[in-house]
Amino acid sequence: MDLFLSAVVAIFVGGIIALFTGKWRGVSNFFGAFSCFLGTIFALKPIYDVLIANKTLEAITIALPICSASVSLDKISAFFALPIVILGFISAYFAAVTVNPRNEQHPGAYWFFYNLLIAGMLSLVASSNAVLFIMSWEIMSVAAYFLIAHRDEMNTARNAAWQFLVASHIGTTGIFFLFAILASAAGGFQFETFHSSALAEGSAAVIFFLALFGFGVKVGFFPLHIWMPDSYTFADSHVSAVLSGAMSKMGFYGLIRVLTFLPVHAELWGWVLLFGGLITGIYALVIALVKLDLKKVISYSSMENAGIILMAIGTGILANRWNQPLIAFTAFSGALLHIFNHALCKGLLFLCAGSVYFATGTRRQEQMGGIGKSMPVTATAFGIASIAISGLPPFNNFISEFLIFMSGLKAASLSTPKSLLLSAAVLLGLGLIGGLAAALFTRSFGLVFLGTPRTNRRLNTKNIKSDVNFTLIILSAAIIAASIFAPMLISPFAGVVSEIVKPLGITYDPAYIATISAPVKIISLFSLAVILITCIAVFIKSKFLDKNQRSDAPTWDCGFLKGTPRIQYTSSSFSEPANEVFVSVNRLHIRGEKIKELFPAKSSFHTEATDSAEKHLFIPAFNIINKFLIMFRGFQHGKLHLYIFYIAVTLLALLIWKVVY
Amino acid sequence: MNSIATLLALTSLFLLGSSRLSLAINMVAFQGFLIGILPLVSGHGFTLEVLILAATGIIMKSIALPHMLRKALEKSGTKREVEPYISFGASILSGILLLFVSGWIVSRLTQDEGIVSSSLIAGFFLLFTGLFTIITRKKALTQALGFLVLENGVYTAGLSLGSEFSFMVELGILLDVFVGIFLMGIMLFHIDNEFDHIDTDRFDALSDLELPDLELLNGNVLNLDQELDEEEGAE
Amino acid sequence: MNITSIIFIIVSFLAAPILPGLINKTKALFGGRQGPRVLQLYYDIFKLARKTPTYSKTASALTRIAPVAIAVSTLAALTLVPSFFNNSAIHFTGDIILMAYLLGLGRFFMVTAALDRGSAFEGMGASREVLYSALAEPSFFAGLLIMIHETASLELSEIFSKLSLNFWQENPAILFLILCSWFVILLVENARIPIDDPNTHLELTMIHEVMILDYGAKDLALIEYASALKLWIYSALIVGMVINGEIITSLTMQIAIFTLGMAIVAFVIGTIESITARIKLVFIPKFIVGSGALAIIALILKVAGN
Repeated sequence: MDLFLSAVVAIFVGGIIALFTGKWRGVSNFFGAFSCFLGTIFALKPIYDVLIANKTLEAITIALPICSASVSLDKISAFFALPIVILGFISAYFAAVTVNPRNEQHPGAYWFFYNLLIAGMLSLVASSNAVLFIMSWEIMSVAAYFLIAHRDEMNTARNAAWQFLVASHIGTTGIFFLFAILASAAGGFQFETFHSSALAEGSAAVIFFLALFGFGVKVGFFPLHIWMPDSYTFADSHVSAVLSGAMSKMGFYGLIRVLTFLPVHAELWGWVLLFGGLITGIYALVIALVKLDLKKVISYSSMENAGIILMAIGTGILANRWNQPLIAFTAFSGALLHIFNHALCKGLLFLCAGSVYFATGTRRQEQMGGIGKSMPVTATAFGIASIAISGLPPFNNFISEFLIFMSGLKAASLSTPKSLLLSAAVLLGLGLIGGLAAALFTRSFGLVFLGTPRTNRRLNTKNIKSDVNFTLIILSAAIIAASIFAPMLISPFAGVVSEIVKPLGITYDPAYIATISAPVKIISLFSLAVILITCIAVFIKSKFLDKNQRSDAPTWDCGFLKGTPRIQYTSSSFSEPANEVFVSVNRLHIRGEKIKELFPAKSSFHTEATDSAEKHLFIPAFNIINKFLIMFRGFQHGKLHLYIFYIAVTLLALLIWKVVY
Repeated sequence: MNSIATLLALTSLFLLGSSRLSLAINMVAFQGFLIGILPLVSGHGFTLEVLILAATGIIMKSIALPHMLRKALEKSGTKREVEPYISFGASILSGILLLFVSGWIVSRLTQDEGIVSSSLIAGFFLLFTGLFTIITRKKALTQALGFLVLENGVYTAGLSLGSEFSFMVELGILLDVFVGIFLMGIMLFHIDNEFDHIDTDRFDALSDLELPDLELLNGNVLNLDQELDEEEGAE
Repeated sequence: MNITSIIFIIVSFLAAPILPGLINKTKALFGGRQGPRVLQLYYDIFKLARKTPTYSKTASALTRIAPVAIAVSTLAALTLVPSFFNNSAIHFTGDIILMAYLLGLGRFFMVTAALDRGSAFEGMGASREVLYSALAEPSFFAGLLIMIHETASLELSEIFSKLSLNFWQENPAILFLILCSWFVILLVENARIPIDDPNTHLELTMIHEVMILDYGAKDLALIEYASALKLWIYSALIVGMVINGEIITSLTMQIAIFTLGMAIVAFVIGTIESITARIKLVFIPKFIVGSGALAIIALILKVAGN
């Protein structure tokens, strides 16, 4: 545990040094990045010890003003520390390489907040004390705020950061209340006391729903997600990678932790998570199909995967209630594996998007095209990540989605109507989500990297930073490895699952690990085979069979007089069939001129859509609150006399009160 | 004792009602003199400490501080108080009300012996009057006078409670008053220099608090897709 | 992996291109024409395989990779299909999911490669294809749900072998509904009328044909073959679902009945293609969702019946 704590401290101290050496940009860069590398690598050893070597680490006690807090790393914490460590390292490398010493305005402040974010997250997973948990949560949120607002000269980044801050703190109030209830029932702030405390009947439900609210904001649970797309879009890409790959997982960590505090999980919670996750996933994709900004699309995909994970957790809770340990085990394993896999994929997607943004200077898919030829590594990495995030074999997300499917399928073989409902929700929901995700990412991949450039905007080849390709290659390799070596991941993750359900009094038969490993092994072999055979076949084809190919003709254009790159499909045209089907959800707003004459000279057409939840739910609600609060504005007038009057009246009232009673 | 308390109350009422600034300063100087001789008549005897206390009180509150304030008044060139938030007549009526309130409070507070209630009432009354002056007057000078009266009230109340350590406490209070008024005198000069007036009711123009723009919440600006073009120009 | 499954894979590998030929013959029969040969697709594939490809300037490496990837994924899916009413070559719990998603992988490459060439037509087909397949997946799983509920097993081969004829006899309505549902899925996934017209290249009717517009020579050969194989897989699923092979003991009988079943499926497809027209494009999503609804109705019937 000392090693872990010293890693956290090293990262934090490195950030402080970077802050103070901000004037010397290279030095600051070095300290910030290097301390991050060191810290994350050091943190790997305790994680390995806990997850794989099954050691238990001694807790360390820290004295805080309110209480003394203990820091320890159990299996759940170690699991959730994995995405932080991996993405923290890789994003730090990306940042170090792309932070141009000549242009970067505040590298010191930037590294300070980045390291603070990573250190905050690491201390969050390690804290076994409510006060330390909330402190770390706040540190994480505030550091993330400053990182999102880093490009503060842009109005969009400021707005997005503000939205993030407000949403995050609304969620944090839920977490405060949650821990207040738990602490008052247990009489202390340590997590161990929460496990054994006796909770009143209704308060368990209150605690769960507060947790779902508070942590749901971080995760992107519908409709608490509205801060997410803007924040991830307008932050720098490597920051988005860490935020969506690691910080949103902290929401899952919190939810699972709170579930371990509650001795009994009600069936209602499982249904809420299941259907809430389903709605979240489908809604995210429907809205993403309307969006044109590359990073916004990727952000909505984060929300979609969060929906999938919540569905899996809900399935697990339901299966536990129905005494179906194998189904619950499968579902929880699928959820955990999906958390891990998704972190890898999402990190890769955002880093590729960042690379593209550097090269083209835009995030609008409509203005890109044909980049794949100039940036082959980025294109391949994005392609691998797209296939992975759509949940297709041979990559890793398919395996975790397969496990979730399995739990749904197994539930279908039970005879009760409720299990059939669960099964239908999982199967049909995941099927639809997978299909729409594939639609989304074929669109992004195709529009950005393939075809011809859609505008005259010349690709500024000087800006292509090939130094970052190292990070892209590492993450792609990690995705492939996670798919081929997936059976090896199941056993340590199964340990985490056992720890999640231990407070419920359930122990899983060790044979279950073998039961779910068996199909996963076959799938991994399949994946390996498909990848290898395709590579070999392509090699043979290109070497021997395509010898005399010609590639000098333009694309057939059916006799257009002047075929331009603009006849290619744009992102709104690609998703137009899908948008029509879901028009009631995405409220697409179409404006255009009707064509009146035989040979119209000029016409216009414009579609736009805002996030429906934002427009129809939150903005009206906030307007009402604003009108109410305006009334209190009258207190802040700046008149000295009234201020003194307030003081005098208060004192007089106190005096009279004291005198009368 | 009682007569001094009555005189103190009367001077405060006068302060509340008058609009001529130099007269107000004179009233406060007289009040300072009364406060100064209060320890002598309060029955603690004529020991050295009491004499020093009385002398210091008279010098500071009756001579030095009013003199400083007169100087500041001359420099600023104002002669009269402008119409306060609560008019002069109403101020006097409020003063009488405050007298009743302090009487009531003291009657609730004191059931023990050893406490001279009339000067305690005077003490509370001076306190309330001082606060009232600060709150309702617009010229900074009058507010400084109100502060002085406030401190006088605290001094009187402390003296009338008759504790053993009151000597030290009173000296401390005197020091506090001295420093406070000294600073205020300087401030008055500078405020007048900068703003050419000493009307404190116009100081709220210094506040730079703004209302947030309600338009921002109507969904137009928050559709950040449209911001893309603006943002790309910045690159 | 036993002899039966190896024989099945070889037979499927070789015989897949016959299916489109049978369908075309059926359509010719309805039209009073001679029609192309049953083995026409073989001739086409061999002709194409001898040619040299020409690529557009816009096309990137993806165009070269995609046909191979599509063929490999379809072949991989073939190994999971039950062989002549017995176990598939590779079978494990949940293999149906892997099969569906391997076909999805092929579709992913098809769609992205369609965007590779910067042509408006291919983008059109791609945009329609992703929507329809996204809607078809849940419908497919809906039918699967009933079968799992009935047989309480999770391997495709086991499911098909446990769906006894008795069950179908007792629940003809459920059989009809699931059959309709899966048949519609077959038509959607293989781009047949009434969803897509495999004969024309007109804008309004194009979904699948247009995505392969710019392929030629060996690439087109691979893709045509992979399409035929995909049709074979889906037909085999329907045949396996309806006919329970447990009662048939000898391998030759199984092969015979399987062949007969496939021929009947081809005939039915050809009939549908001849007597219906393509439905309006805006109705296709409703059509697909409707087929899923049929399966859900069957599920409700089944649960209510128990």
